[in-house]
Amino acid sequence: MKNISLRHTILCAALALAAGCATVNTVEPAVATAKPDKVADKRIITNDTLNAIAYVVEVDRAKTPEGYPIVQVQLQNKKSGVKNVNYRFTWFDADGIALNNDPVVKTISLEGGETRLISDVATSPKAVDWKLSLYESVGRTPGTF
Amino acid sequence: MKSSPLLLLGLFGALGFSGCGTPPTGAQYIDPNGQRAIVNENRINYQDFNMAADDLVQSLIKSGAIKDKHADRPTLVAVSRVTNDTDQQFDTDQLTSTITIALLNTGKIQVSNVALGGASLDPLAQEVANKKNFVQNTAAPDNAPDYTLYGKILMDKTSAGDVKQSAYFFDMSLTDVSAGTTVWRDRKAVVKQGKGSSIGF
Repeated sequence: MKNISLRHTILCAALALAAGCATVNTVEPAVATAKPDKVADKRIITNDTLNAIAYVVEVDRAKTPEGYPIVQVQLQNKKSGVKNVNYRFTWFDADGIALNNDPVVKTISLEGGETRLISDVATSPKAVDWKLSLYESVGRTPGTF
Repeated sequence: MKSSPLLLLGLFGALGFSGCGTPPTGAQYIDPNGQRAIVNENRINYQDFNMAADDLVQSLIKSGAIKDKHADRPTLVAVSRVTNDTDQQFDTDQLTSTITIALLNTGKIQVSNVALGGASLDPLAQEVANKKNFVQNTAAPDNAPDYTLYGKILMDKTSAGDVKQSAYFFDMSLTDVSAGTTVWRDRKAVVKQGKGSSIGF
């Protein structure tokens, strides 16, 4: 039993290494000067694994000098290994019609425990609402070959 | 109760057939902007152009570098040439057409189609400046662009053991024609790793 347990532990450690297990330490001001305009969000979670890889910590909004809306989303990888996550933003006008019906899917790489920001600017001044879609990457885990 | 393992096997089988996260085995349509398009480590794929163009347009709009230059008509932006400084042959329109579409969709900018020429870093800006100098003491023509966009695509390849890495840099800058100065510049990097001439999804 002991042998199996030891083998299991070694296998787990090897797998974690193969998956590029790297984490991130960060430092920032204890009291932030910036005062972001936080957005109350509604989430539809269909994949709990993805929700742990790319957990949405906070959503902020702003506008460009010309009045184009910007949305910024803080993502956190709650796992210990590096993961790729794909995402895309869709913007809607006041009638709820999608302005960019075929938005580009982008990729972000999140180290274990890392928090990163993704943002999108509406390319139309008519944009009022947005939707962020997150996808578990179908590709290989970064750094593993 | 005995049918439970069989039921489980059946469920796993069904999941396998549904292709949950697996590449297709036969030809089929895919979302052109989705994540299932083929990715080559050793060459630029069309989705790289799309990602770079989208990021560059986002950066340009976020910067607020394009100002309203006229009260009676939209600001004119001319997309100049994009230099391909890589070892690959491709049509750089893949980058510029996506940028042009996005700029037109803003509704505040019009994109100018002006012939190219000259030998400066941004030949179009040079041509416009020459034209303005030529017609000294007269007002600039109405169709003269207010801004020009110039781009360059660069490449860096490296490897470590079996793992190869290709980095593509999409540089773009915006020149204010009247001032002759660069008012915005950004670079989008697309970096891909793979084994051999590997493909992925």
